Amino acid sequence: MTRRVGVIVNPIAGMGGRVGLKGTDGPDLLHRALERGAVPVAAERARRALARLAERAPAELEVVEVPTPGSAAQTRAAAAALAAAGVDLILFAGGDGTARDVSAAADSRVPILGIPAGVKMHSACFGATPEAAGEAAAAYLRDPGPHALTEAEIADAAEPADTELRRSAYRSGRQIDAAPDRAPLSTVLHGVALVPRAPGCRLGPKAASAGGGDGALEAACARVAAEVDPAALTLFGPGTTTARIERALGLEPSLRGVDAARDGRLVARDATEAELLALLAGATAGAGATAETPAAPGAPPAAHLVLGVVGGQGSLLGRGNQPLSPAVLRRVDRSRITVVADRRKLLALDPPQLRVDTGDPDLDHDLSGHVRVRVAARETLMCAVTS
Amino acid sequence: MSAFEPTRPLPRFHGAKWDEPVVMEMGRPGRRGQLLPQVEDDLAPLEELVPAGLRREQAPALPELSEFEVQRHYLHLSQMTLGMMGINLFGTCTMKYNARVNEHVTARPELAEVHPAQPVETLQGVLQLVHDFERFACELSGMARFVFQPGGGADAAYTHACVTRAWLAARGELEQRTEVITTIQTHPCNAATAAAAGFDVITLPLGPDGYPTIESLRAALSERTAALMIGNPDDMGIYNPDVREWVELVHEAGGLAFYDSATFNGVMSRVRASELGFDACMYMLHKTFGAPKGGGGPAVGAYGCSEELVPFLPRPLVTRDEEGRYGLEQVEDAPQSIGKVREFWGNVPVVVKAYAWVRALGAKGIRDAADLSVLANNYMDTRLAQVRGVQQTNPGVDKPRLEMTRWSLEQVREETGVDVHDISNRMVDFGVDAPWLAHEPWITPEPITPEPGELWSKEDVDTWIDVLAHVIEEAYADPELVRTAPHNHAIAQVDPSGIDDPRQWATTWRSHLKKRAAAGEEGPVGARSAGGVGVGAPEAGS
Repeated sequence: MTRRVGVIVNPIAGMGGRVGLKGTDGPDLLHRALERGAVPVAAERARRALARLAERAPAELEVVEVPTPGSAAQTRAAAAALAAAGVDLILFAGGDGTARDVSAAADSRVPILGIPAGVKMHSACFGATPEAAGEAAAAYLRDPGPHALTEAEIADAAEPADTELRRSAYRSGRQIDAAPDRAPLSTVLHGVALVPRAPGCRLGPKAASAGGGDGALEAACARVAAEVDPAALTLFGPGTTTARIERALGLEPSLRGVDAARDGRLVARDATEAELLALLAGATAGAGATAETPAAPGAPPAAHLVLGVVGGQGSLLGRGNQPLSPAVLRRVDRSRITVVADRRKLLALDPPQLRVDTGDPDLDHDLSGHVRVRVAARETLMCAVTS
Repeated sequence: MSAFEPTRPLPRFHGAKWDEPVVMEMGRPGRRGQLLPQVEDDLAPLEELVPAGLRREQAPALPELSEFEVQRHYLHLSQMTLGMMGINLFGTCTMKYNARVNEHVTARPELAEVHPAQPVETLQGVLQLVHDFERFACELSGMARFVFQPGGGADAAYTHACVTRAWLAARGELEQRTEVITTIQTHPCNAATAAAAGFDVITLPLGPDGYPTIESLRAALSERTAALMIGNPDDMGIYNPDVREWVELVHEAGGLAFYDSATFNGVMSRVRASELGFDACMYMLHKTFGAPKGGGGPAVGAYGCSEELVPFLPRPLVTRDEEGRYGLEQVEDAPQSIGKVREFWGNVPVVVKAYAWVRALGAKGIRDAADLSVLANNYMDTRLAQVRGVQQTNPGVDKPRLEMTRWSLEQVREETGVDVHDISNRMVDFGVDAPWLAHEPWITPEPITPEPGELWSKEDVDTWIDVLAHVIEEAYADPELVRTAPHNHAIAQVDPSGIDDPRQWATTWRSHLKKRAAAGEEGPVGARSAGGVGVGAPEAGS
């Protein structure tokens, strides 16, 4: 029997990421992304997923195409057309914004699956990587049906315009952020979609971090702050955990962007990839130093990168911190990457591993293996890292 | 999988409930338990016998009761005490029968009335028992020496952290080797004591086989590695078959390997720490070796080590010369010793009870006990797997578990809203004791960890499973009944909301009176005059 898969690629998804924007939702942000020199990423990620799907697909597979959407309305229309055409699965490349539009049109009648290509991916409908999405789509299409489906939360970062949504989510008891004072980073639930049940392939929903009162994490942050060398260029990834470390150092964090500090002050706040590269170029004398080729005397110490872990996705790189591009990451020695996270957040990960998805498979491979995540002043948790 | 069938009618239990005030509020002025004789005339006056600074100005405010009233009151309190008297499969604690004869033995004057500071010539019998029991422990573990000073398992883990420090210092590596590796399912006292001793702890999470991958161990090992501290099997009953290779890797990296043998019961006489390459290990005499436990009472974490680490052990150690005379090697005789981790030789009565347990079972009995505990657990696994909503952890691991298994009741909670605490509370309504859940951190949602050991009969194990299955059926049929349990006990649910407010509880009568007085001035707090003290007070049950 012929299976049918509908494919939607949001051509602008993810473009804002590397240029320091929090999304590419709407014409304004797209315009700003283009101004900053953004290049399309979704098509390439869709190609990677479809290549894997083609390898593993059932014998008879029909790919249903629709006109390429660009705006939210076009995405919804495309998804509605695919649903009306009776496809077995809608495979889309995009982020949380695309997921909201596709799931609204699919209306829990048609299963959906996301190829991760956005800036934000808080929803639980994305494959961990483009290849994993292709794999999960192929597995479902070989044996589709209700038994192979599960419900997934469609979420997005709360924007000021979402205040009313946040209130209604709260009223219905479904709000998934737990700390009102962390509102800028909270996630809002927009709906529930049917997605293929593919253990290990999908990202979990982003687990919003619990409120304060966590002594172990506080102590972990204090220790990392104490270990930051003021003379070194130190990059801080986004999130509440790295923000705690920045505050401990007397810095004012941007929370959702990548910050850079040196000599006790921020030298870039909510930086773009280009700004980070420029800063790193100034620190290259030390950045490339290794045990074999030590830095020249008087050279600045090697750059230091401090990262948190993104909620239930277990994402270390590639989700919300795209200014930390492959070019940036290649200029930071692996031994100079410090990861800090709430122990409970790590233990809630299923599967229990961190993921890197920088967009550069070679770099992802280099970054894979194990990383020690500091969870307390005197304790680290060894985490497997996969791409 | 066959459907679950109960084996027998459920116990029709009901706990006693005595509505009595606390003993400080009982009695009447002038009532006495014992009538003491008058002071003899030819004794010197009190002022000459007791220095002024030690004399009370007022008599203590003790309750005045007859002996019978006191005895009856404490009998009632014991009847209202919940736990440890029913069928108790409290996992990780290895519940055993604590033979009453051991209480008589340890109450004999040869042990009860000696003091460790006596001349050793007058302590030969006690020293012989300690010496011989040390040989038993060495035989079971392959270690060179044991010390019984540590007052529990965590104290023994701390002893190891201190021994590791001393060993590193002697090698000039204390500054370099700062990291101790443990696993997420090893008892958290290992991570905690290593951190308390100044080490940085690396915790390895579980891999797909139910134990950490060897790759994660390799990633953790370096020139900074001081020690590995792990249990095996872990407290989910899964045995890491690569443990010998783990120890070799740690040794290659230059660290020590410590075997937390808290889960020794299923592998007694089948696994020796030394044959796996470990440098040190720990047994809990109050668990595996049949001595009583609980209530914070005396315990012993027996710490054993290889010949290389003996110089660093706490002292005193018992010695035996060529003529068979026993003696004590003191701290002063061992310049590299870490010193004492507890007073004198530790809790010697616990060692004597463990000695009696080993002698009663013998080598074959110990092996049979280990095998029975694994057999009983695998029998439990078969029946528990048939109970609705009960899921084995690590379902992808098809190897049989050893002496205990961790289960998850997450499905029950998802489908009924009833959680493991509710289910524990309801199980005690049938005269079985609440199950052990899991050590922190909970990596399994809604965990329970039953451990049948070699003590409990098949009938007992079946009854326990029947009760659990019945309570889960109740959760589906009438969740409110389970959520509001227990219903058949002196105490229903205790409101824990005041536990972080010290004004609302008191641990002594005097403190209770003070806080009650303060509350009278400052407004209402939880401390009450009748029925008990603070939040621990019995709240009227249904």
